[in-house]
Amino acid sequence: MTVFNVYGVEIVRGAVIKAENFKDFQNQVKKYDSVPIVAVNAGDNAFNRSVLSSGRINILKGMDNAPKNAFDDVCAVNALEKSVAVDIDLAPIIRKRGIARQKALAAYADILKFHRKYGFMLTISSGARTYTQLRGVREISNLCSLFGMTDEETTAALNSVSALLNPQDAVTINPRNFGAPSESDCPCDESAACEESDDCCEYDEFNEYDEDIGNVEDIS
Amino acid sequence: MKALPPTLRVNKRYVLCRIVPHGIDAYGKEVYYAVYDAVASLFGDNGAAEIGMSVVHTEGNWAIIRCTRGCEKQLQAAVSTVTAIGDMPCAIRPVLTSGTILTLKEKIRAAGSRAEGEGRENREDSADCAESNLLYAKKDIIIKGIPYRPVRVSREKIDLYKEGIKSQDSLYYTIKDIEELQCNQ
Repeated sequence: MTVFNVYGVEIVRGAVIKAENFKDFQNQVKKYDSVPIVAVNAGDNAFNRSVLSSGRINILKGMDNAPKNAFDDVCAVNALEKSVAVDIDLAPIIRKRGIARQKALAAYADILKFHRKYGFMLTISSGARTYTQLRGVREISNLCSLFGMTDEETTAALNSVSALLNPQDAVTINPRNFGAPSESDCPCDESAACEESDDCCEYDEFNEYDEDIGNVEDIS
Repeated sequence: MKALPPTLRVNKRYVLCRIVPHGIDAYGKEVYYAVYDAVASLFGDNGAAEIGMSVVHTEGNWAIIRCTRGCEKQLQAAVSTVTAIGDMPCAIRPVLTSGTILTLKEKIRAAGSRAEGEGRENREDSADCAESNLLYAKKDIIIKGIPYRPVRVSREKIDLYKEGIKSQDSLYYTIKDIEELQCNQ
């Protein structure tokens, strides 16, 4: 079981990989195939590009500790294509002071710029280890406004974990339910006896139902 | 010196904040130093002067902080970065913003009476409740096949008690926690 529900609070099992290089990452990621959320600590630019294009992770985290220019436009495109979210950890903003906090704010402002241009997902985490370090939605919204994030963007980022758990797929339409039945599907011939049979009546009802809900093109 | 007429005075806003964990009775001065340090480190001296914060009232685990109108969001952001008051690790959660202190004091009274009512209800339900601030849940939760009774201490902290013998288990320790514990030993 990977998702626990305790008093309406969902707890999702996840794993954080801290790898020195891409080979190390490949060795570690094999262990976490069954884990629904896999996060990786960011490294230099080459590492981030490789990890994002591998398609085996869900979240890239620790951008505040990453070197300058570790996340560029190529990383942003890769993150968008592979549906990888970039994590904004509020712990350095809350707990650090001085130059460390300034660096974190600058790094998150850069990520936000790329997010607005390329549209990849963001996640927000408090990095809490005790319950006094937890933060509410309004507090998170206020803290994110420090580096220019709007309330709508914050709400979208807070909801992106469910998007990671339930990734968007192309819509598949079952032709048995939505397509108009062909003549070959009808078990009866166009005879007088057939018009009175129960099977054809069922098909008539089926066609009426199709008209009610619209055709396939409308739905797609 | 003649006082300024009301139209020329600087407009103020008051932010009601709750100090967690429950039970920390911090003095106004301690709260002021903690919040001022957070404001000054986040926005600098210039920003702190613009915000013009001051702690006007503290009551139990509630504090009312005053700031200039239009700077409420900045103050709330700064208050969210407070991690300790004095030596006590805690958090300050902004709850409500108002133009008058009276409204916020009413809110404090309402919250106090609600908490008392909640405590009374639970005390009636649970005869085992030894301390007045313990709230026992009616339903057990099961972790790894073992039932635990959740007990809410004050407002936010929740302890899990195992049924039967009062032994202690480590439920959610991470590898990093274990390493830290080993280093401290």
